[in-house]
Amino acid sequence: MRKAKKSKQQGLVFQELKDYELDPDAMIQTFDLTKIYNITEGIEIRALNGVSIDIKKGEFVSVMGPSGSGKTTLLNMIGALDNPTSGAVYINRTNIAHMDDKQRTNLRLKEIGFIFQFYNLVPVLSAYENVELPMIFAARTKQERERNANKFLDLVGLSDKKDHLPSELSGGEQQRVAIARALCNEPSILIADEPTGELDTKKGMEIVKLLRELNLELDQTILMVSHDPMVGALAERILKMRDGKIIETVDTKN
Amino acid sequence: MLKISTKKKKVRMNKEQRSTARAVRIDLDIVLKVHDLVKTYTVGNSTITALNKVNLTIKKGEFIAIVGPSGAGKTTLINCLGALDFPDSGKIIYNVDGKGMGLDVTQMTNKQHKKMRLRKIGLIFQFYNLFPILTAYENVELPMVIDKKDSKVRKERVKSLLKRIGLEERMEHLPTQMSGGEQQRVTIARALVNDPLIILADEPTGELDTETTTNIMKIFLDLKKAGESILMVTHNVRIAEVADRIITLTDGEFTGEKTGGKSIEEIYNY
Repeated sequence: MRKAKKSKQQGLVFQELKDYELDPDAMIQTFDLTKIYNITEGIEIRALNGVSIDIKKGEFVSVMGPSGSGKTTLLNMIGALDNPTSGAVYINRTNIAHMDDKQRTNLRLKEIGFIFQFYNLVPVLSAYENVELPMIFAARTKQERERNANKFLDLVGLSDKKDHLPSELSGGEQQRVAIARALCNEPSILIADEPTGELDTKKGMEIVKLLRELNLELDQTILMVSHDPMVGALAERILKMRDGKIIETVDTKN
Repeated sequence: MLKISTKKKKVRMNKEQRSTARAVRIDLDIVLKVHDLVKTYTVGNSTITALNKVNLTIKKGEFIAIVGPSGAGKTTLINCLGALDFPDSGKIIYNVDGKGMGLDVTQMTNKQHKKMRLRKIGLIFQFYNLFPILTAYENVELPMVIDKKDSKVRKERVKSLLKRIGLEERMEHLPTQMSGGEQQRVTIARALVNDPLIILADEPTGELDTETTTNIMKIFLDLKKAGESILMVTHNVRIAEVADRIITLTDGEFTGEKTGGKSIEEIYNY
């Protein structure tokens, strides 16, 4: 009873009327995703208006578009940070709407690594402790936490600053900590929302190149939102959004 | 005398420079005493004095607002008091056991700083700084998890705090599913979770509209009533009037003080 009530409150009640055609190679698939925000009575905003995408394992895809085109909303739906009004999100061929709270928490902690524009580090914790945090919540052992925190801080080039607080690090360094934090539970998907939005061009390009290397080395699937064409162009495929819809797909490999 | 750093980056003192803090006596009714605090930053060839001999005493249960324009040194002050940044000189003495044992934050080791931040100081930031992939409940629980508190104790404390700030029904929600005001309430609960000596709030209503600002101030006033000590920095001079004392910070110096204690109704002429 309690479960049903909670699900309703979070908008998780779905009536799946159709069978979705799942792609066996897809890591992320969305079907007719819509998200409607009711601003006040009678006024609604369609942040997503029927988005269907298919991202294969190991692909590096960027989502581009002007402010308000629905980029962040799409990422929040895929990352199970918010619930769609209708449609479905499949991660590794599982419909996330069919997951209970615990499974969704696990998905956010273990399967998906998140990188945000404003880094979202905990200001009272050191770089090392920030990286360790998702592993504590994922109930990893102390040895595993130590190994992975050191390994990924090393990978992003911050081994010598692991005891520093976020306020003692530059913007680029804070974003590197955030990347190490996103990687620490070894997720299969990385979701990055404007990871270079607060950085200058040089630092921004360094961060995206680092993401590209991770994508190649660790075979991670990366979905990145950006409004910077230079940054977005480093991906293999660009999904262009406008008014809550995908209006164009550009393959940069050719 | 101003001590000017020659290095560009903020430098944390090493162990030799910063020996373990020696306890000093402090009056029972005082929670925090700041003496001649100086903080400078060096940018290129010029030195900026962010704090210039700041003195401040906060009594238990007092609610103090520090007002001033951008660049006045408000955030630097909060960061120094919150053991997030380190002054060039001066003392920051907390009544750590509540019984008169004063310890100077500026003389503490990194390990002691960490303990201060986790257990003795409750920090609230303008941009909430919640971890987006954790629920409201988990975000509040976070300092207790890091402090390795027992899970039963955690559950009880987190639930009672979420109830206190009126978010009991939303504890399973993520930050993305909450309004700015709700997110700030979560950070208030997070700041209180380890029962700190003082709440330090840096522009807690900077991102909020008037109605939500009023609600947050009502929570602060309730906390004061319950005996909490609060230091809030803000550029909102109007809302600062709810505090017991309002101190003006200009170019790193305290330049004025007045008594507040107004009710929200008085401020907005309801």
